[in-house]
Amino acid sequence: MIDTLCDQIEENNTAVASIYCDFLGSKEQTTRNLIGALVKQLVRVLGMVPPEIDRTFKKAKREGRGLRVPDVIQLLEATLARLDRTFICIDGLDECPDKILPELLTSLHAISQGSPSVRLFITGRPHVQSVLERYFPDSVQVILISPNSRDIEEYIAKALREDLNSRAMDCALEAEIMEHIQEQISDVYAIAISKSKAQSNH
Amino acid sequence: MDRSENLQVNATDPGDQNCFNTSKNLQVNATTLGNQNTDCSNIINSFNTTLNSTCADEQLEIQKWLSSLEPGTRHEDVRNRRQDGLGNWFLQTQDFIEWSNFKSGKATLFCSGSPGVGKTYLR
Repeated sequence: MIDTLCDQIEENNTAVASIYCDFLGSKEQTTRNLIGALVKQLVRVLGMVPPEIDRTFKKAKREGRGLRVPDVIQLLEATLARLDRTFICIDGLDECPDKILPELLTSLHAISQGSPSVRLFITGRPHVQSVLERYFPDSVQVILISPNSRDIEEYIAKALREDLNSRAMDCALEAEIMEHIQEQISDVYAIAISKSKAQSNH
Repeated sequence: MDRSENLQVNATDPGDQNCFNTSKNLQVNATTLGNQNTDCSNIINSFNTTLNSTCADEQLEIQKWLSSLEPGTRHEDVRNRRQDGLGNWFLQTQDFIEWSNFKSGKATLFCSGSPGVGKTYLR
Protein backbone atom coordinates (compact mmCIF):
# COMPACT_ATOMS: atom_id res chain seq x y z
CA MET A 1 0.00 0.00 0.00
CA ILE A 2 2.66 2.43 1.11
CA ASP A 3 4.86 1.42 -1.81
CA THR A 4 1.99 1.86 -4.27
CA LEU A 5 1.38 5.37 -2.96
CA CYS A 6 5.10 6.14 -3.08
CA ASP A 7 5.25 4.93 -6.70
CA GLN A 8 2.25 7.04 -7.62
CA ILE A 9 3.74 10.19 -6.23
CA GLU A 10 4.87 12.23 -9.15
CA GLU A 11 4.56 15.58 -7.51
CA ASN A 12 7.65 16.42 -5.46
CA ASN A 13 5.89 17.80 -2.47
CA THR A 14 3.92 14.71 -1.47
CA ALA A 15 4.73 12.44 1.45
CA VAL A 16 3.65 9.13 2.93
CA ALA A 17 3.97 8.42 6.67
CA SER A 18 2.83 5.33 8.50
CA ILE A 19 2.46 3.78 11.91
CA TYR A 20 1.95 0.15 12.86
CA CYS A 21 -0.10 -0.66 15.94
CA ASP A 22 1.10 -3.81 17.60
CA PHE A 23 0.05 -5.72 20.74
CA LEU A 24 3.71 -6.50 21.40
CA GLY A 25 5.03 -2.96 21.60
CA SER A 26 2.11 -1.56 23.57
CA LYS A 27 4.29 0.17 26.18
CA GLU A 28 5.77 2.48 23.57
CA GLN A 29 2.43 3.03 21.88
CA THR A 30 1.20 6.25 23.31
CA THR A 31 -0.66 8.84 21.23
CA ARG A 32 2.23 11.23 21.69
CA ASN A 33 4.77 8.70 20.47
CA LEU A 34 2.66 7.49 17.52
CA ILE A 35 1.92 11.00 16.24
CA GLY A 36 5.53 11.95 16.95
CA ALA A 37 6.57 9.08 14.67
CA LEU A 38 4.51 10.64 11.85
CA VAL A 39 6.22 14.00 12.35
CA LYS A 40 9.61 12.26 12.41
CA GLN A 41 8.98 10.61 9.03
CA LEU A 42 7.71 13.81 7.44
CA VAL A 43 10.77 15.71 8.69
CA ARG A 44 12.92 13.11 6.94
CA VAL A 45 10.94 13.54 3.71
CA LEU A 46 11.34 17.31 3.91
CA GLY A 47 15.08 16.93 4.53
CA MET A 48 14.99 19.75 7.03
CA VAL A 49 13.60 20.54 10.45
CA PRO A 50 10.84 23.18 10.17
CA PRO A 51 11.61 26.24 12.36
CA GLU A 52 8.46 25.59 14.45
CA ILE A 53 9.86 22.21 15.51
CA ASP A 54 13.34 23.61 16.10
CA ARG A 55 11.91 26.33 18.36
CA THR A 56 9.70 23.92 20.34
CA PHE A 57 12.62 21.51 20.74
CA LYS A 58 14.96 24.20 22.07
CA LYS A 59 12.30 25.54 24.42
CA ALA A 60 11.46 22.07 25.74
CA LYS A 61 15.17 21.35 26.27
CA ARG A 62 15.69 24.64 28.10
CA GLU A 63 12.71 24.09 30.36
CA GLY A 64 13.30 20.35 30.74
CA ARG A 65 9.76 19.51 29.67
CA GLY A 66 8.58 16.67 27.46
CA LEU A 67 6.19 16.83 24.52
CA ARG A 68 2.47 16.54 25.22
CA VAL A 69 -0.23 15.37 22.81
CA PRO A 70 -1.47 18.90 21.88
CA ASP A 71 2.15 19.98 21.26
CA VAL A 72 2.86 17.08 18.96
CA ILE A 73 -0.40 17.67 17.03
CA GLN A 74 0.65 21.27 16.52
CA LEU A 75 4.05 20.14 15.21
CA LEU A 76 2.38 17.68 12.85
CA GLU A 77 0.09 20.42 11.51
CA ALA A 78 3.05 22.76 11.01
CA THR A 79 4.86 20.02 9.07
CA LEU A 80 1.79 19.12 6.98
CA ALA A 81 1.45 22.77 5.96
CA ARG A 82 4.83 22.48 4.20
CA LEU A 83 3.62 19.61 2.02
CA ASP A 84 1.09 19.74 -0.82
CA ARG A 85 -0.29 16.25 -0.13
CA THR A 86 0.26 13.73 2.64
CA PHE A 87 -0.94 10.16 3.03
CA ILE A 88 -1.07 8.90 6.61
CA CYS A 89 -1.38 5.12 7.04
CA ILE A 90 -2.35 3.44 10.31
CA ASP A 91 -1.99 -0.32 10.24
CA GLY A 92 -3.75 -2.64 12.70
CA LEU A 93 -6.00 -0.18 14.50
CA ASP A 94 -7.57 -3.11 16.42
CA GLU A 95 -4.16 -3.75 18.02
CA CYS A 96 -4.03 -0.24 19.40
CA PRO A 97 -4.39 -0.37 23.23
CA ASP A 98 -7.96 0.47 24.30
CA LYS A 99 -6.84 3.14 26.71
CA ILE A 100 -5.23 5.25 23.99
CA LEU A 101 -7.67 4.53 21.13
CA PRO A 102 -10.13 7.37 21.92
CA GLU A 103 -7.31 9.90 22.23
CA LEU A 104 -5.57 8.68 19.07
CA LEU A 105 -8.77 8.74 17.00
CA THR A 106 -9.79 12.16 18.31
CA SER A 107 -6.35 13.49 17.37
CA LEU A 108 -6.36 11.92 13.91
CA HIS A 109 -9.83 13.24 13.23
CA ALA A 110 -8.81 16.75 14.27
CA ILE A 111 -5.76 16.54 12.00
CA SER A 112 -7.76 15.32 9.01
CA GLN A 113 -10.42 18.01 9.56
CA GLY A 114 -7.80 20.74 9.87
CA SER A 115 -5.70 19.72 6.86
CA PRO A 116 -7.54 19.09 3.58
CA SER A 117 -4.23 17.98 2.06
CA VAL A 118 -4.29 14.81 4.18
CA ARG A 119 -5.71 11.39 3.28
CA LEU A 120 -5.93 8.74 5.98
CA PHE A 121 -5.63 5.03 5.30
CA ILE A 122 -6.55 2.75 8.21
CA THR A 123 -6.53 -1.03 8.37
CA GLY A 124 -8.08 -3.18 11.08
CA ARG A 125 -10.30 -6.10 11.90
CA PRO A 126 -13.99 -5.59 11.14
CA HIS A 127 -14.96 -4.97 14.78
CA VAL A 128 -13.15 -1.62 14.98
CA GLN A 129 -15.27 -0.19 12.18
CA SER A 130 -18.01 0.92 14.57
CA VAL A 131 -15.48 2.63 16.85
CA LEU A 132 -13.91 4.37 13.87
CA GLU A 133 -17.27 5.56 12.57
CA ARG A 134 -18.07 7.04 15.95
CA TYR A 135 -14.97 9.23 15.85
CA PHE A 136 -15.11 9.95 12.11
CA PRO A 137 -18.80 10.55 11.43
CA ASP A 138 -19.58 10.69 7.67
CA SER A 139 -15.98 10.70 6.56
CA VAL A 140 -15.02 7.03 6.31
CA GLN A 141 -15.13 4.91 3.18
CA VAL A 142 -14.96 1.18 3.99
CA ILE A 143 -13.47 -1.51 1.77
CA LEU A 144 -13.74 -5.13 2.85
CA ILE A 145 -10.63 -7.24 2.23
CA SER A 146 -10.98 -10.96 1.67
CA PRO A 147 -8.56 -13.07 -0.31
CA ASN A 148 -9.94 -13.99 -3.72
CA SER A 149 -9.26 -17.41 -5.20
CA ARG A 150 -6.54 -16.10 -7.53
CA ASP A 151 -4.62 -14.65 -4.56
CA ILE A 152 -4.85 -17.94 -2.70
CA GLU A 153 -3.73 -19.89 -5.76
CA GLU A 154 -0.70 -17.64 -6.29
CA TYR A 155 0.23 -17.84 -2.63
CA ILE A 156 0.09 -21.64 -2.52
CA ALA A 157 2.01 -21.89 -5.80
CA LYS A 158 4.82 -19.81 -4.30
CA ALA A 159 4.87 -21.83 -1.07
CA LEU A 160 5.14 -25.04 -3.10
CA ARG A 161 7.94 -23.66 -5.29
CA GLU A 162 9.89 -22.79 -2.17
CA ASP A 163 9.23 -26.07 -0.40
CA LEU A 164 12.55 -27.63 0.60
CA ASN A 165 11.15 -31.14 0.31
CA SER A 166 10.18 -30.52 -3.28
CA ARG A 167 11.41 -33.95 -4.39
CA ALA A 168 8.36 -35.44 -2.78
CA MET A 169 6.19 -33.27 -5.04
CA ASP A 170 4.80 -34.11 -8.43
CA CYS A 171 2.19 -32.48 -10.61
CA ALA A 172 -0.65 -34.65 -9.40
CA LEU A 173 0.10 -33.99 -5.72
CA GLU A 174 0.46 -30.27 -6.40
CA ALA A 175 -2.92 -30.15 -8.12
CA GLU A 176 -4.47 -32.07 -5.25
CA ILE A 177 -3.07 -29.68 -2.64
CA MET A 178 -4.30 -26.68 -4.61
CA GLU A 179 -7.78 -28.04 -4.92
CA HIS A 180 -7.99 -29.22 -1.32
CA ILE A 181 -6.84 -25.96 0.27
CA GLN A 182 -9.13 -23.89 -1.94
CA GLU A 183 -12.08 -26.05 -0.92
CA GLN A 184 -11.17 -25.79 2.75
CA ILE A 185 -10.90 -22.03 2.54
CA SER A 186 -14.23 -21.62 0.85
CA ASP A 187 -15.74 -23.89 3.54
CA VAL A 188 -14.24 -21.70 6.27
CA TYR A 189 -15.73 -18.63 4.62
CA ALA A 190 -19.12 -20.27 4.14
CA ILE A 191 -19.19 -21.13 7.86
CA ALA A 192 -18.08 -17.63 8.86
CA ILE A 193 -20.72 -16.00 6.66
CA SER A 194 -23.54 -18.24 7.87
CA LYS A 195 -22.50 -17.65 11.50
CA SER A 196 -22.44 -13.88 11.12
CA LYS A 197 -25.80 -13.99 9.36
CA ALA A 198 -27.24 -16.11 12.14
CA GLN A 199 -25.91 -13.64 14.70
CA SER A 200 -27.34 -10.63 12.92
CA ASN A 201 -30.75 -12.30 12.75
CA HIS A 202 -30.89 -12.57 16.53
CA MET B 1 50.95 42.63 7.99
CA ASP B 2 47.97 41.47 9.99
CA ARG B 3 46.63 38.37 8.34
CA SER B 4 43.13 38.93 9.50
CA GLU B 5 42.86 41.99 7.27
CA ASN B 6 43.07 39.74 4.27
CA LEU B 7 40.69 37.11 5.47
CA GLN B 8 37.14 37.55 4.41
CA VAL B 9 34.60 34.86 5.00
CA ASN B 10 31.12 34.78 3.66
CA ALA B 11 28.39 33.31 5.72
CA THR B 12 25.56 33.18 3.22
CA ASP B 13 21.97 33.59 4.30
CA PRO B 14 22.67 34.92 7.80
CA GLY B 15 18.96 35.35 8.48
CA ASP B 16 18.39 31.64 8.57
CA GLN B 17 18.44 30.55 12.18
CA ASN B 18 17.98 26.89 11.41
CA CYS B 19 21.07 24.81 11.94
CA PHE B 20 20.08 22.41 9.18
CA ASN B 21 20.59 24.72 6.31
CA THR B 22 24.06 23.89 5.05
CA SER B 23 24.34 27.25 3.28
CA LYS B 24 25.43 28.60 6.65
CA ASN B 25 28.81 27.06 5.97
CA LEU B 26 31.65 29.51 5.66
CA GLN B 27 33.22 30.09 2.30
CA VAL B 28 36.65 31.48 1.59
CA ASN B 29 36.78 34.63 -0.45
CA ALA B 30 39.69 33.47 -2.57
CA THR B 31 40.43 36.71 -4.40
CA THR B 32 41.51 38.61 -1.30
CA LEU B 33 43.49 35.84 0.31
CA GLY B 34 46.29 35.47 -2.16
CA ASN B 35 49.02 33.09 -1.01
CA GLN B 36 47.65 32.49 2.45
CA ASN B 37 44.66 30.84 0.77
CA THR B 38 45.64 27.26 1.68
CA ASP B 39 46.12 27.84 5.43
CA CYS B 40 42.83 29.65 5.82
CA SER B 41 40.96 27.16 3.67
CA ASN B 42 42.07 24.35 5.93
CA ILE B 43 40.86 26.17 9.03
CA ILE B 44 37.53 27.01 7.44
CA ASN B 45 37.05 23.49 6.11
CA SER B 46 37.59 22.01 9.54
CA PHE B 47 35.17 24.56 11.01
CA ASN B 48 32.56 23.58 8.43
CA THR B 49 33.06 19.87 9.12
CA THR B 50 32.48 20.45 12.84
CA LEU B 51 29.43 22.63 12.11
CA ASN B 52 27.88 20.03 9.80
CA SER B 53 28.40 17.11 12.16
CA THR B 54 26.95 19.16 15.02
CA CYS B 55 23.90 19.82 12.84
CA ALA B 56 23.55 16.15 11.95
CA ASP B 57 23.77 15.24 15.65
CA GLU B 58 21.13 17.81 16.54
CA GLN B 59 18.87 16.62 13.75
CA LEU B 60 19.10 13.06 15.12
CA GLU B 61 18.46 14.32 18.63
CA ILE B 62 15.30 16.12 17.45
CA GLN B 63 14.09 13.01 15.64
CA LYS B 64 14.58 10.93 18.79
CA TRP B 65 12.79 13.58 20.83
CA LEU B 66 9.82 13.49 18.41
CA SER B 67 9.35 9.74 18.85
CA SER B 68 11.15 6.64 20.03
CA LEU B 69 9.28 4.55 17.43
CA GLU B 70 10.90 3.58 14.14
CA PRO B 71 8.06 2.58 11.79
CA GLY B 72 10.46 2.46 8.84
CA THR B 73 12.06 -0.72 10.17
CA ARG B 74 8.71 -2.49 10.33
CA HIS B 75 7.85 -1.32 6.81
CA GLU B 76 11.11 -2.80 5.44
CA ASP B 77 10.26 -6.11 7.12
CA VAL B 78 6.75 -6.18 5.61
CA ARG B 79 8.18 -5.22 2.26
CA ASN B 80 10.68 -8.08 2.27
CA ARG B 81 8.11 -10.69 3.21
CA ARG B 82 5.43 -9.50 0.83
CA GLN B 83 4.54 -11.37 -2.31
CA ASP B 84 3.95 -8.79 -5.02
CA GLY B 85 0.79 -9.18 -7.04
CA LEU B 86 -1.39 -10.48 -4.20
CA GLY B 87 -4.29 -8.18 -3.37
CA ASN B 88 -3.73 -6.05 -6.47
CA TRP B 89 -7.47 -6.10 -7.15
CA PHE B 90 -7.81 -3.78 -4.15
CA LEU B 91 -5.53 -1.14 -5.67
CA GLN B 92 -7.69 -1.14 -8.78
CA THR B 93 -10.99 -0.52 -7.02
CA GLN B 94 -12.75 2.73 -7.83
CA ASP B 95 -12.86 3.58 -4.12
CA PHE B 96 -9.10 3.32 -3.72
CA ILE B 97 -8.30 5.20 -6.93
CA GLU B 98 -10.63 8.10 -6.10
CA TRP B 99 -9.33 8.29 -2.55
CA SER B 100 -5.68 8.31 -3.59
CA ASN B 101 -6.33 11.01 -6.21
CA PHE B 102 -8.06 13.22 -3.63
CA LYS B 103 -11.23 12.96 -5.70
CA SER B 104 -13.46 11.23 -3.15
CA GLY B 105 -15.33 13.30 -0.62
CA LYS B 106 -14.29 10.97 2.17
CA ALA B 107 -10.77 11.62 3.39
CA THR B 108 -10.48 8.38 5.34
CA LEU B 109 -10.35 4.91 3.85
CA PHE B 110 -10.86 1.99 6.22
CA CYS B 111 -9.66 -1.34 5.00
CA SER B 112 -11.47 -3.99 7.00
CA GLY B 113 -10.54 -7.65 7.12
CA SER B 114 -10.13 -10.68 9.32
CA PRO B 115 -6.79 -11.55 10.95
CA GLY B 116 -4.24 -12.94 8.52
CA VAL B 117 -6.13 -11.88 5.44
CA GLY B 118 -3.24 -9.71 4.27
CA LYS B 119 -4.28 -6.11 5.07
CA THR B 120 -0.75 -5.17 6.05
CA TYR B 121 0.72 -6.81 2.99
CA LEU B 122 -1.22 -4.96 0.32
CA ARG B 123 1.35 -3.45 -1.97
